[in-house]
Amino acid sequence: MYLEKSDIILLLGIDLNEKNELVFFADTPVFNTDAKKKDHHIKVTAKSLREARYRFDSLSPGSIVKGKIQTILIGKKLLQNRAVLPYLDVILRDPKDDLNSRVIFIDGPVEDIFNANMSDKGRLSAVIRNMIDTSFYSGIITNPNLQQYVAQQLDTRFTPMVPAMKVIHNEPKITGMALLSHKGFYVTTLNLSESPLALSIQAFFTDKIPLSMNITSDKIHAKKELKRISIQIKKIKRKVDTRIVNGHYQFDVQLTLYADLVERMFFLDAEKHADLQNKIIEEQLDKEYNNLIRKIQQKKIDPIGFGVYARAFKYDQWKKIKGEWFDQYAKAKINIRTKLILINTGVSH
Amino acid sequence: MQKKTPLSFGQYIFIIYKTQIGIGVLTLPHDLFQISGIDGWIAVIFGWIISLIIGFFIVNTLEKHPDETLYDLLPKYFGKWLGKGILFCWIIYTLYAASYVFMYTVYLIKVWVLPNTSPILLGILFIVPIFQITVRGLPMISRYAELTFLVTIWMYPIILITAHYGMWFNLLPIVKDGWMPIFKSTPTTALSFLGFELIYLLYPHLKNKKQAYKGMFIANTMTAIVLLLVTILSYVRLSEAELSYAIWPTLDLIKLIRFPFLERLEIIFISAYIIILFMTIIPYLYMALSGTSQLIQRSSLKKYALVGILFLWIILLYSPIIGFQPIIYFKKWFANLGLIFAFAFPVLLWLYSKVFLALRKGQVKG
Repeated sequence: MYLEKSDIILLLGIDLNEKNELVFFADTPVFNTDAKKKDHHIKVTAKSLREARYRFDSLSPGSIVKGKIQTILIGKKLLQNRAVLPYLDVILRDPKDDLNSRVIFIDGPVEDIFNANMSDKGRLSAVIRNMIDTSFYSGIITNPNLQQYVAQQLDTRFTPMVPAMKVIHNEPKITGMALLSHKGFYVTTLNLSESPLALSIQAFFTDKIPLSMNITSDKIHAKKELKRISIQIKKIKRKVDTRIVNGHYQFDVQLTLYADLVERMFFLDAEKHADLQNKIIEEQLDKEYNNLIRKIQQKKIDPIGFGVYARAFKYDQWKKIKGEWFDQYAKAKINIRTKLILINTGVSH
Repeated sequence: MQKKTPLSFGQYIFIIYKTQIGIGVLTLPHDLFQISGIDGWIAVIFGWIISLIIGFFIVNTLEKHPDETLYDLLPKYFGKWLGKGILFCWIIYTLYAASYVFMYTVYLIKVWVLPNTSPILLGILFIVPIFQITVRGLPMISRYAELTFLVTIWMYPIILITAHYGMWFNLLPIVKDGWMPIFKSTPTTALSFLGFELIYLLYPHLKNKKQAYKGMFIANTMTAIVLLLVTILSYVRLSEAELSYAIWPTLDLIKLIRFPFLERLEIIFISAYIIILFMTIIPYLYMALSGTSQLIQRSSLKKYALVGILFLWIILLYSPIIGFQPIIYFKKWFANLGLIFAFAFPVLLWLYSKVFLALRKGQVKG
């Protein structure tokens, strides 16, 4: 088969339109030299992904190839109303399809992404994938692939976390991590300063994480807008103590962060008060971690995966509460204590 | 008596090991998970111990008659007619094993690599090397086993790449629901250890008979390591929901490996896996053939029997036997037959030989 005659779907979008009908979007690169545009956007309404494929075929100048999907975009409206997993079955079932495609939540209609300004960036499908991959390498977000997303969605111990994107003034932008419930509905979004925090407690996926925070401590005397510190975490040691107190779970998390100090916007005589610097950062981190935990506990979702510890270390209790971990999780007590070890402070103290 | 072709220690190990590694590895994590959940990997260790014990019985039985295969022993122990009856059963078993693995290979390639190609075409392509190797007998098979080992040595370490994003806490707590489910799932591992019954045929050919135990131990251990690797990594990397619906968890695991220059590693993996699967088909086929020539006391017919069997396979491919349901259904048969012939039979034969030899000794003395 000639490459010019095949339409390779690199980007797939699923959403609901205003009439609550399922809409599928596809972006395929155009290799034909006569064509003026570099990629071909297709939009169809269909009841399922397989049906959508036939519709794609009828709109495509070549034959549709779906084994190379790089990214799957899921619209906010769809995730507010339905779980997306059944619609992906056709991809999971076919051994020719790639499980390494990334899953992205779109905060708004998926159509916006397809209408976004790409004249100064390149091919839409490559741009979106690159944006997600580079943010992942810098440690701000995770980028679960399709298999990981499905695994998280079906797991009874934690809930999925997928990167979130939004189109602002016609420009696509990564806005953080979208948190979904166990049933697959959209719950809330962690912004770009919260998602690295969440990732640093989560033990499973990544280790190199940048954190940037406002110091609220009174021990520092500086203008409010200058009380900022940024660190780059190199390595994290997590010690989670799982206990049962009064019939509820209690997690004592001891995080040891090995980090570089990369930015401090106020003056502090760190040579004399080395402890003070560590202490204010630790205090600040404790505060932010606890805010984050409270936020997700209220929503009864567990993207960090405390359920993994709950089952691994207190299986008897886990058996008792079987099936309703997320209700139990909301009642659990979670203490996070941070210890910071600065490895490198650059060329100044 | 046939002319014996000498078998080196390495060849002896590789034939057993590569016969054991076959279709079982691809599905084992799923099969174990169905019965004993995440603790399934412990059953592999029990399976390994049981295989070692059975292997010991096999070698111990043959030790008394260092120049005779199982097929020579049967008429001696059981008399002409009963011996021939058991021999016939063995031929049926080994032929069934070879045929089943052949059909499985065609099905596997059809599902994963060439969905639009006719199974008959695949079958015709496959029988050519199978014929070429089997017809030349044991010397060729032993060399093929060595080649298989060397060519496919990269295949299992590559799975370790998937451990990177694994969740090791999945395995905890170990033995969470008691030992019963683990014991129950131990027979499931039998299918993956099948292959050591070839010792019945290989032992007389082995150059240094003292190394028979050691070789059996090494082959079984290598198999157990591969099975453990695959099972633990599947449990660490795949979720429980996936394990319960995925038919081939091992291949799903490989599907997750992605290099910047290579997106679909599983295609290469499965294609190379044909070599390993052939190494399961060929020894069983050879065992069936040498049984046949023993049964009718004419080794010149071997070649025609082989051609006949291979043609029969191609004809079988016309029937709807290459499908999901038959493949699953016949696998149970294969596993059950394996339990009888490779696990129960050696123990019974060992006991029988002890009694038989003791009685004969008594007769001579008396």
